[in-house]
Amino acid sequence: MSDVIVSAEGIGVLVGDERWLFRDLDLAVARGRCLALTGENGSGKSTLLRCLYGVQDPTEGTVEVAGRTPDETDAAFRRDVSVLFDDSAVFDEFTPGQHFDLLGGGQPAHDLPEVPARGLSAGQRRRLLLLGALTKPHKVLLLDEPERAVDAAGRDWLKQMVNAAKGAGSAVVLASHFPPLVDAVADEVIDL
Amino acid sequence: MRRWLSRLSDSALVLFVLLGLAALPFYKADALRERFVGAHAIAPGSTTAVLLVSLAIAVFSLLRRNHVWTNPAQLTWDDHHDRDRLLRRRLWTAVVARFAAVAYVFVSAGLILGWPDNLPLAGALIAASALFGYRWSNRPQSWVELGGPFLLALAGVLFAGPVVLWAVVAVLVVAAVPSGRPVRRDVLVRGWNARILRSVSAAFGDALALLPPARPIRVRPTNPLRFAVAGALARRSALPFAGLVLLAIPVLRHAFPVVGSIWWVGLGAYLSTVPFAGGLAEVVRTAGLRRWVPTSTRVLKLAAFAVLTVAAALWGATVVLLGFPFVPLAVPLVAWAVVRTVSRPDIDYTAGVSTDVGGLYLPVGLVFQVLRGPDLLLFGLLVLGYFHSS
Repeated sequence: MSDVIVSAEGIGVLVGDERWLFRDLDLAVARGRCLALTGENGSGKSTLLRCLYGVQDPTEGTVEVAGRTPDETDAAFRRDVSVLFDDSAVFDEFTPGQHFDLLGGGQPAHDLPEVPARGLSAGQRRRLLLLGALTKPHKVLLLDEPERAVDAAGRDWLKQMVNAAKGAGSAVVLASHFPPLVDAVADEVIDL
Repeated sequence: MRRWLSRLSDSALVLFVLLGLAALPFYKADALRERFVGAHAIAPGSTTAVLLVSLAIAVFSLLRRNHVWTNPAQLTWDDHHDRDRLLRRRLWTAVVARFAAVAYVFVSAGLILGWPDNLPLAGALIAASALFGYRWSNRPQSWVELGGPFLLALAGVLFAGPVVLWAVVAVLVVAAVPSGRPVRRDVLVRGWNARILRSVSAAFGDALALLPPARPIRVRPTNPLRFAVAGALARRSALPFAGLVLLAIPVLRHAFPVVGSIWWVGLGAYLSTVPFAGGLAEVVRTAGLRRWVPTSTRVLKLAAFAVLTVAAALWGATVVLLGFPFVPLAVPLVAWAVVRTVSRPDIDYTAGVSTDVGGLYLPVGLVFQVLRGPDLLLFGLLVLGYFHSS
């Protein structure tokens, strides 16, 4: 089990005074594996991802990601973990190529037009964000509903990209409402 | 009376204080002249020069088109009447507000610095500027329109004589001839979004949200320095503002010679440079953008400092051509004050401890963070001013 790079033991998040979003949750994701989080809206998928990225502390339990307690404020931690969250954004003035220049991970193959991001459609912006998360060198990939705003072809492409990331040794945790994506990429599923 | 007084809030107190300060030129003109002009001789044409700079700022402000907005919900559900009539009404209000401010500045300058000989010329300048501002802010945006405010400011810097100023009046009137054009829906929605941003920014005392948005650029941001360069170049829309400040400060220095040159240069360079640091502000404040730039914040700040130093140096070198001394230490001081301003942490609104600011109780955290950046600038200028004058 030395390949496990994302792990949590007995974690729980309390909302308000008495409602547990989830509790006594254990998980372990090894390199090259994918854990999918499913469940209805408000079940805690995004909260769990935030706990794994160190944006939010769990009320109880311990979490370890890339060999340390998640801390998004730590640059070394951020270098190991790539994310696509609700707050992910693009620079309106930069083209896709300029965004990839920022990441320093080379230019991935893509069919996005080389225009400033303000000129891209909502789906293309989403695809740019996905490409950014996947292109950035990482050990752990956290994706929150990556299928959102992506068309049918894009969802097929997304499956390939996530599987490619797994093939490259990434541990992937994704929250999704799209069963075909979960079926195509997940090695384990936690239904919250 | 008691009931009326009980309705007065803290903000009314601030209003009274501001009104009292604004009324000073009307009953303390001699004291103000003593304070701002001192024993220096008043340069002839100072009041007209101050008027010209005020007009330039008023027209420039009108050309920002803050009156052009419509709630998207209204466009969706209630868009069957004349949009332009409402916009014109708002534009009139904007014109009246700005030119009332200009009139106040003109009268104050007249009381403190002396009235110009040619009052009809001053009236003609005000009327021509108002006409130019009204007509051009009723048209789609264009670089050409900046000619108006820059012509006015340049005439102010040069302390132009009556013949030139009558020519300026003629140019402004002729340039105002083209009529307005209806505004498209996307422009109205963009204006609405900008208006919401302004109100939120004002409500929360967060001026950094008002830094200019970026425009596309060709620079490839492959390292922190290039990222900082890209951030500055992307905000090239702030160049006219920097130019206007550049032209305003020589006039102000002539009009109020007691205030040391170092203060005008330092404050002018700071105001002109802040917009170009919008890239750093954006990336420090927005987690989703920060993730695109895998570099430490310290390195990003240093890169921004380097770029802003160049910008401040260019600005400082240009004011030398306008008769100001070059103070090398002011350049890094301004650049670092700007970096400090834009890289401040998110404003802390918790009201655990409040402090009295001119009659208003504000959270200490808010006051502390709003002053972050300007504090360094003011302290640095104080020190530089001491050595520069001695």
